[in-house]
Amino acid sequence: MKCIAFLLSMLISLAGVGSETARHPIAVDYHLDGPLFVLSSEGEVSQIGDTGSESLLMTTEAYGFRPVDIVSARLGEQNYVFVSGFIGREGIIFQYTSSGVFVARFSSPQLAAGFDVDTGSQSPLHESLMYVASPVANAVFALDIANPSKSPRTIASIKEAVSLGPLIFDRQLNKLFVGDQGNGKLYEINLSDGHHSTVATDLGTPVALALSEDDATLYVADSAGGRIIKVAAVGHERRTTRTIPTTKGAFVRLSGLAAGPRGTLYLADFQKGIFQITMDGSIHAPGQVPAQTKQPTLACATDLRVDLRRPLKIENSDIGLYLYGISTSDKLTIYVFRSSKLGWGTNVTKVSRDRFKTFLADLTLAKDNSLEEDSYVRLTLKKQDLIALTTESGTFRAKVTESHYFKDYAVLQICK
Amino acid sequence: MAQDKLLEIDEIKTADVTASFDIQCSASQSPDAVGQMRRVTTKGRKFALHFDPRTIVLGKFGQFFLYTFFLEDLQAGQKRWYQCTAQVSSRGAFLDRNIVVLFRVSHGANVDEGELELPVHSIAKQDFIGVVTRDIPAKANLSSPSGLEVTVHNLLSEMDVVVDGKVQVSSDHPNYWKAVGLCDLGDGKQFRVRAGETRVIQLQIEPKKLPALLSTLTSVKPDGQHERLNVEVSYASDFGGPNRILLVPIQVRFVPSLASLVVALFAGSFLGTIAGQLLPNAWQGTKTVLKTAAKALVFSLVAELFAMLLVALGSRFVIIQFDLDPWQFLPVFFIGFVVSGGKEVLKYLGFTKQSTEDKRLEEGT
Repeated sequence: MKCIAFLLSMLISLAGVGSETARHPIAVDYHLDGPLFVLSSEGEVSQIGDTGSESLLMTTEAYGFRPVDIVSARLGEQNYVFVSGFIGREGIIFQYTSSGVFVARFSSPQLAAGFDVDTGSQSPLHESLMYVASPVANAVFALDIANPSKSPRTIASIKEAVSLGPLIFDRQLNKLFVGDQGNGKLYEINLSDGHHSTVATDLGTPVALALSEDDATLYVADSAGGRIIKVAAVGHERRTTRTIPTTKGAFVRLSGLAAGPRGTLYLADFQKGIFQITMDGSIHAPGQVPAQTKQPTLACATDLRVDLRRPLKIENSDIGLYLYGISTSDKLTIYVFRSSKLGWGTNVTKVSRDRFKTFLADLTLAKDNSLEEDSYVRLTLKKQDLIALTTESGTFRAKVTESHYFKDYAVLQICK
Repeated sequence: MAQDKLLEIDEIKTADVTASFDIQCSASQSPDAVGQMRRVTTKGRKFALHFDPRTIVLGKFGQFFLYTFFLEDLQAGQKRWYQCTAQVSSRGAFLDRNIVVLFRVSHGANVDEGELELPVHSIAKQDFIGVVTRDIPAKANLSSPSGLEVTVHNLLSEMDVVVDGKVQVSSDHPNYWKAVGLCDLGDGKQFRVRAGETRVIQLQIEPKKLPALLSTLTSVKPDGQHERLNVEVSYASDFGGPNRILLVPIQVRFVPSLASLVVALFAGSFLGTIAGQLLPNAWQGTKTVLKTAAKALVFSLVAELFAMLLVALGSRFVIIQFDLDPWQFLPVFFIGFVVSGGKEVLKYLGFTKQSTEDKRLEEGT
């Protein structure tokens, strides 16, 4: 009996060590319909399913390896997991299959560890590349995934940077975004010409980046400040920043970030573990987001961006809300698009002008007389304006709670 | 609410070290383990700064260190606490050490300053430990394998280093060893080497007896190497230093067991005796051969013991211009063969030149 008790206590203590290790996540990655990949500080890669169930996929067993980042990607017909890190003072990236079988090892130049994978779907040569950011050289390099021994190619050198860290590839714009941990800046690199520019500042210590499902909003995890900052695109040039309103002190040491399903974010805190947060700042365990917040609702649509040079068009909200106005002779039709995932032009709900008016209160409707029939109208939504929004779930009376107008664009927050 | 400029630490600028501190503070509760922290009171006794060096961590991308301080406002009627996280950027190829820094606390009208000793780590690529074997080449005993004895020396004068109990071993000839790859250093547990000190520890690697014994045939010189190991040792300086890898090449010389040396001596002696008896006109019957073999074995044993003694006393043991190691299989076999076979055999084999007198005697002139 004593032996059995001893063995049981040993097993329990070993299990305790394992879960303790899993509590130190260093990076996360997620793609639609896939598991959440979690990299621990001990080099363990775990998968977390939709329901929050966790399973160990593999352990990066390279001797003396200190993991930094993880990226999952589909190349051809196979899913792969890439893990970057350091061995001593050398940068290394390992490639594994999604079942944890080692495939290749890449030497990363100049201690580069922040990285992302370009599957080649946008490039004419269809070459799969890894973009890596070096905190030492403050340069971004491209590694050929098909040929690990090939010398890295320099993409851009950012001389004004202090110490580059996280990097993410925007497939739609064919651009890279790189965070600078040293001065809290975010740089954008155009892959077609290598030109770079600063797109956001005052980001604290950017330690991880994530792009929303539609690639229009960039999220930045500020490790020092324990906050998630949204960097929202307006057109192709301007960007605005806002912080997701999480509870103060909720995070101790942010280490990883990934865009999750249904407008949520997966978040890794080195001290506290893995969380899934919604755009209203509520914090949940992975897969435990309440049902009512899993579906897009109109509870509060923040950072609705309106391009004032074009007809009323609010696009790319956190909840996937699109609002679009068009005037046809004497009749105003409001189109409301529910899901960004479904794309522009689908799931249209039309609201007649009369019906819209019944919900409209104190809304300034300015019609440009110079416009001809079938042309667009411009709505100026001010703070405290009440509007009607229709989605698949029904029509809601909503209020404009934030309204910031600039020369060419406006930023709105609309709450139910 | 973040408190800007609540705590400031002066930049470190010495001949070899530059370090800057980017600090953010926010109101917090009293830390749980405050009693275990270092406490420094400002000169005007307005504030106390608490710091646990064990909480220093390297930032995610390996370029900054994160230090956590707790600031206690001693002025307020009800004690107030602030947690401050400093992002520390160090430059210079220095060895990790403790440095006294000046800090300043500004809270409203209350301004005070003090001094605090902080561990400062380097991110430069350099080694903080030296690892060598006691003997060069290191002797791997085949009779009672106890691993290879290595000494780990801490080059830091002020900080301990923590060495991983597992090392990565690769070999030129993996078939000589029962297992290479991840091997234990000592008991396989992480161990500490105090500042400036040296620690002797066993690298737990065990040779396969027969392949290793056969490998000794390739080198008979007393200082020749039979094998080369490349050992990667992972370590870090205490209090959050970045992980470093030291690559240690180790030359190895296998030392056969006493039993195998006895076998070599018997075999060499037997072969030498037989060879002597098979020379032209040398056969004198079985009884004589057995007597000669017994005598030869005794003389071989004496010669081997004499050789061992000489070499142990620092002399060289040379037979026919060959510098031999009497602890190796082939030289022992050779000693047995030469002593038992005698000069006739050597002459027959062409190892020695015939003197003019011998030639004359043979020719009968």
